[in-house]
Amino acid sequence: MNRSPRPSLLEDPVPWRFDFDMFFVFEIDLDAIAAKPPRGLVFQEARPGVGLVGVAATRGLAHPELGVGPFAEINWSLLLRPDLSRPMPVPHLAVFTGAVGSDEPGFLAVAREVDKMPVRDTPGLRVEFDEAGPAATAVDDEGPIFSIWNTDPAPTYRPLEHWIQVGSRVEGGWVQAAVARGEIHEHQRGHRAGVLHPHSFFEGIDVTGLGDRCYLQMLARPGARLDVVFHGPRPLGRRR
Amino acid sequence: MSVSPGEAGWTPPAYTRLSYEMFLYSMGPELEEASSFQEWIEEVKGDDRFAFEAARAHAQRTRIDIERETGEGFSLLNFSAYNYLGYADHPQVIAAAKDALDRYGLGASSSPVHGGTFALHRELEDELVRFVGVEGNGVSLFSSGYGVNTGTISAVAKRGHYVVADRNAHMSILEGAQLSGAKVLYFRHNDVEHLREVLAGIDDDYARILVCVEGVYSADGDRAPLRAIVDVAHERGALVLVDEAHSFLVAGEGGRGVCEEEGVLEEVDLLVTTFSKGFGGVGGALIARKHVTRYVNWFAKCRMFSCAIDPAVTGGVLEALRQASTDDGAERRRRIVANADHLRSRLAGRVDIGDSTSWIVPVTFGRDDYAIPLFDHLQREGLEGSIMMFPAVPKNEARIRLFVTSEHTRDQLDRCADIVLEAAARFGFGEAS
Repeated sequence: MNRSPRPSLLEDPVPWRFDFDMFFVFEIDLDAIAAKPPRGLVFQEARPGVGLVGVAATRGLAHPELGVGPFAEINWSLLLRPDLSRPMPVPHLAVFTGAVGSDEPGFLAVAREVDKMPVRDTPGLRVEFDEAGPAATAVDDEGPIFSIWNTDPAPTYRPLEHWIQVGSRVEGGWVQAAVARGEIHEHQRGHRAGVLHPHSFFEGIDVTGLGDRCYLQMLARPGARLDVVFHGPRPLGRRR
Repeated sequence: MSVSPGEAGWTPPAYTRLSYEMFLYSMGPELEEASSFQEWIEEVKGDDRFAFEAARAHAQRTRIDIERETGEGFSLLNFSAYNYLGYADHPQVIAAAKDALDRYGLGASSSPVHGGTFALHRELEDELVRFVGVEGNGVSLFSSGYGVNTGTISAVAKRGHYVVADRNAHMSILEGAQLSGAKVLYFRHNDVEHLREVLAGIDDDYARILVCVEGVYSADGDRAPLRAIVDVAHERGALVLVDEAHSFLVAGEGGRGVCEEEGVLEEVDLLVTTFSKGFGGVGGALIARKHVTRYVNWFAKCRMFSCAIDPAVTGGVLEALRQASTDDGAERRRRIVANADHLRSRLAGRVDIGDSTSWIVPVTFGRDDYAIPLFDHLQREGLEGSIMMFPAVPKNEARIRLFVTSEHTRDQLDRCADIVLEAAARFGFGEAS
């Protein structure tokens, strides 16, 4: 959509650079979700009674300008119905972020203070990135968090630009626009595409048995550059 | 020189990356989704590729004259209409509709429960019961096929009950389940063992369970394994609803659908059909035990609070049913099967036609961003098909649905296959690509 961007959600860009990114979306019964989205936003349903939870594993490059070294990031989010009145291109997805973890304190500080993301301590976080699959496994000192693996034997990565609307409950609720640019493959082939373990990282949702119900897999070409720009978060309720 | 889809260097226009599902919702206070959707439409039109909602100039025949919103006209091979047996413009069906119009007027002017039931409706109900041949059955007529599912399911299942649906079940089944307030569970498409697991997981011996499936699935053209599904469901004490929208009058030796083929006509609890496909009309019916249909007549809100099905359509549908019971009807059923087999034989191994065993032949081309350019391309090459993309089908499993009818000629089927195969080569979705 070639709408000319109005400024309010597209100011203050914070660019992030990655060379590995997997974002998998699993079906989840709505009654397995205790987490509440920010006021005025509601969960997207794949089918009646079935919500969607996204899990991501990313590998970030060093960002000296932000004081951030190379990092691994994990996060989970719940898919929301978007708000198209927000001045930004039509979003590919709208998400409410439940938790963000990382092995790099500098990244978490920026995510918390600038991006208004709900960061969570994951002491001893280790994320294994398998470029061949691709696949990713996250573990911390508490135990395994999740494993996700691509189930398409022949991914076809294409240059794409995906706009995403991101909400969080930090300090009462924020919304922002993000745009991902890179070589991306998106598919829905196969179901058994991951395991989400009961872990305090997933506080707010019951992830038991979700791996069989993978709804969508989004992959960036491993090793290729993926740029994700977060545009300045705005408190909910202030649209213009 | 411009680069076409499928050629190296083609950059998908922005509108190809957006699908209509992105405009389904907006949580803002303004009706922004309508404005955004209109912008999207205008972008497609600006690229001269808006092939949707083109107006037909006459009845749904195997050749069709259409006019796009831009005013551009096309004369096309028509594989986009589910006028499976040709009754939408059958002379005797039209004559019967005209007779009914003369006798009963344009509309029923009342809800069927109050003053909208005509003798003609009773005649259609009785004829449907005779056609299905299960003693003790009754019929509940609806003015829309969609409404049969939403009305029936929400009347039969309630809060505290369970609706267990095939994952590929039609939207009307899903919306009916949602309306009912019942807990909605899903099993993998046509996976009977998974159905068994889902039913076993319902930890409530007293809860009512309604299993909902289709005879022929509209996106894939495959059939449900009804014998096994009915056995598994009844073993658990569940009721079974079978939507035979795309198979009633067409499948089975006598046209009684996949239920007839699988020998479960007497065991299915709720048999749903629409009149818009095999019958060539509009509306639909629930066929079930008489006390059940009487109950649904009163408790399906979209029936109780809607006007009865109109007389002309009722008369035409009744005649279509009679025609389908004749030798000519049986011959049409033989022709549609032979036609679909022929089209499949031309396409199989050269493009992906999935597991279709019916008169719905899907050709999966995969990439969602090809959907709009391909639909436009096919029209310009002389073929009107039915494009499906996410969320109607999974992401990147976009497809052209080809509805075969008994009325297509061998030449038309061959030409259709040629156009599809030429498009496959151009867009790069042939099996060998």
